[in-house]
Amino acid sequence: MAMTEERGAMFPGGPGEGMEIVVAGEGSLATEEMVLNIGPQHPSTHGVLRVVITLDGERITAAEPVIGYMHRGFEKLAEARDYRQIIALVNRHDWLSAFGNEVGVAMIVEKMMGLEVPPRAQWIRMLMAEWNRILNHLMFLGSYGLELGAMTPMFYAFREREDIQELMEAATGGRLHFTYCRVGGLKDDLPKGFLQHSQKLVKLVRHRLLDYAGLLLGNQIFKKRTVGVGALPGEVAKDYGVTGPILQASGIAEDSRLTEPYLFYDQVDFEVPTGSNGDSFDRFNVLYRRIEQSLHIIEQIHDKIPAGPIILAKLPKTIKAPEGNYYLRTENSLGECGYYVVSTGDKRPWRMKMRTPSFSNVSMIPYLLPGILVPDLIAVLGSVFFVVGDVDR
Amino acid sequence: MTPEEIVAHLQEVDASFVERSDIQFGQASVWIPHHKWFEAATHLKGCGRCRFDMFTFMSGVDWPDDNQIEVVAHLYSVRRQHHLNMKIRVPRDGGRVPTLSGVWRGANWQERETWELFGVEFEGHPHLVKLLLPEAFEGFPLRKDFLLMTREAKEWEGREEPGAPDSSPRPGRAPTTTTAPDKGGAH
Amino acid sequence: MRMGLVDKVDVPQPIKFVLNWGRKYSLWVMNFGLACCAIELIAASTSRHDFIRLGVIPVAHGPRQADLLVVAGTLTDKMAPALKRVFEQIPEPKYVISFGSCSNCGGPYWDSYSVTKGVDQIVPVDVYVPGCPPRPEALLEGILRLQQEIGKESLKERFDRADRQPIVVGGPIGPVDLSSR
Repeated sequence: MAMTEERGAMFPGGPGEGMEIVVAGEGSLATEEMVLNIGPQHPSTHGVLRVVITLDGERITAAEPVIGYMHRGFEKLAEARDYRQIIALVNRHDWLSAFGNEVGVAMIVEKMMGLEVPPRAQWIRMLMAEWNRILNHLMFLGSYGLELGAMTPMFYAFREREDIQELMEAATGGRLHFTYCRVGGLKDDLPKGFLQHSQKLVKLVRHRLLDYAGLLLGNQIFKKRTVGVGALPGEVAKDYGVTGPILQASGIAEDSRLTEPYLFYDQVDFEVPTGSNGDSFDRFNVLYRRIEQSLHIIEQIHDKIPAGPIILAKLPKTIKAPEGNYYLRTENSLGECGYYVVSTGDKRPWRMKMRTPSFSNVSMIPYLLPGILVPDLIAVLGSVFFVVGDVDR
Repeated sequence: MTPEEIVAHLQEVDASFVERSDIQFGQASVWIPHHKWFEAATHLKGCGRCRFDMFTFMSGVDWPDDNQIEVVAHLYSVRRQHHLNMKIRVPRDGGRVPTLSGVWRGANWQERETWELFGVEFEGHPHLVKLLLPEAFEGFPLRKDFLLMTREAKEWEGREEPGAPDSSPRPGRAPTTTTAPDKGGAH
Repeated sequence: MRMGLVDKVDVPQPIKFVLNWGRKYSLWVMNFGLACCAIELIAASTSRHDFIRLGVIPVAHGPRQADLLVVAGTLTDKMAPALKRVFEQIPEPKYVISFGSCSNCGGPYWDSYSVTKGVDQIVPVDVYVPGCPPRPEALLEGILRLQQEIGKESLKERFDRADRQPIVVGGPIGPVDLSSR
């Protein structure tokens, strides 16, 4: 009798009726939080970022990124170098799209000195900056797929990157760090046949971009892993100072190429793609569409490059910025890259502060990660596009 | 709003907000006294005409001759598309600035960085620990009296300007004239 | 760290040839890619330059399964303990390639307050590949010359040897006398 009663307690509906399982609700099981350390050396291409997460089972309760493993002291070194040497050093920060960093330095010195850069140089700077934007975004298209387990996009991305780097090498001589900008223009004119090569490459990259859409954007597994995961509301993003594709994916179309056009961005026609939810899929999608827009801009630039000098004919022997301070921002591939220069009239800046987009993008990780599960961690962390050299300078 | 309008608006709202103002190359900077720093920031974020919703960066500038450090915070408004520099001068030893991490979340890390590189304390900051430098690092690197030791210990082997003689001759080459080289060290 | 007979005794030539041949064509690499040079390292492993065909496969899931450590990029003082730890976890015989001028000697950050001027202060280096960043072809040359050296070496001598003669890519062929540095 007792046994049947006991059995009855375990199987309330009687034998054969199925068990009623009571799941302990949150907080009723005594658990201990575990601290898990990711990095600083881990096999993703993002470099030396360390994230210390506190876990309650599989759910993240707190995340703290530890940065500084790539802090090379650029701002102190900039005070000991003159502007030409700074241009050579500054493209090692966002190392995936090095030219974008150089343009900012050249532009702020030119603005402070009041120099008028020849139009041909400005158009070519735009061309190089847009190709660099594509280089940067391609890398993330490939590495995000790799982090989610897809190996093929990585090889495709590098195939495209090699072709574009060959193009850039023809003009600048470097594959990764170009040092092509000078205060007052550019170092050298484009080689013969460059624009034809560039036009052919635009068609090729546009055709191959469809591979990524086929492999990743339409992929059910990719969508299930990234849609709705890691949503970042637009107001919170603005509060943290997040800029670039991540802000645009959260719905806010802020792009300094449109709002404060520099170089000749007001003479080309392009749009800023935005996302609706701010989740990982939107961030990835925005990157993809930004590549398409950049290709469109490059095609327009091809038609508009005028002939003319490539650098100012009368430059002073040593470049000295006049006294004063100014902040200039450009839309780098990852967001708003700005330079705040305080000058006392010397050939070296008194203080050069580099405002990098990845620093602010990474600072919102303590907001973004808590509440998601460990299997989604890499999907979210990989979608925060940053370059560690940019974070730490 | 144009830079002049922003400064005028701030002075209208509270005359003690603006200790001094300056417009350079088309960008406005206002120096705000210590006791009004937080209030001015809250106004700049909340006011309908200003709407400075993005905290671009915060940093410091060392002025050893005045024995002061100037803390600069740059603000930007996505809605109204205007910029502003908020500045404050604090003494080098024991300088303190109220924290802005309650107003903009992005100020949190920027203030930590300014503290560890300059030594300016931020009152009320929730977590003022080192961000970029290793734990054992001593000193405030971006101050002008922190010298780059490698430059002090070793001569810069190359030339300063194209066409100038080598500052230190390399083995295997004829020695060149010795002009006192500009070390290029920190000021 | 001596493992067994092979490391303590000068093995006769035919066996040494086969053992070295096996070792040199299966150097699994632990990518210690830190900075911009890591991008060129990855580019060297993808289809255009492809160091995988040399047997150097970047799928070492951890230091315990690697033979070769490629340090690519600037090493900062904050990161140096991590490098030392990873290096110590790799089992012998291990080789280190220093890729790029930041890891060779500090590079463009030679005067920085937070950069370790050269990874050879932390780990012993076998091949120096100069450049900023070096071309992937330079890495291929470094690997090929390392493989030549491995083919000729005897493990007993390697563990007995107090000094090292690292290979410098782009330098004179053969061991380089670093005593004048």
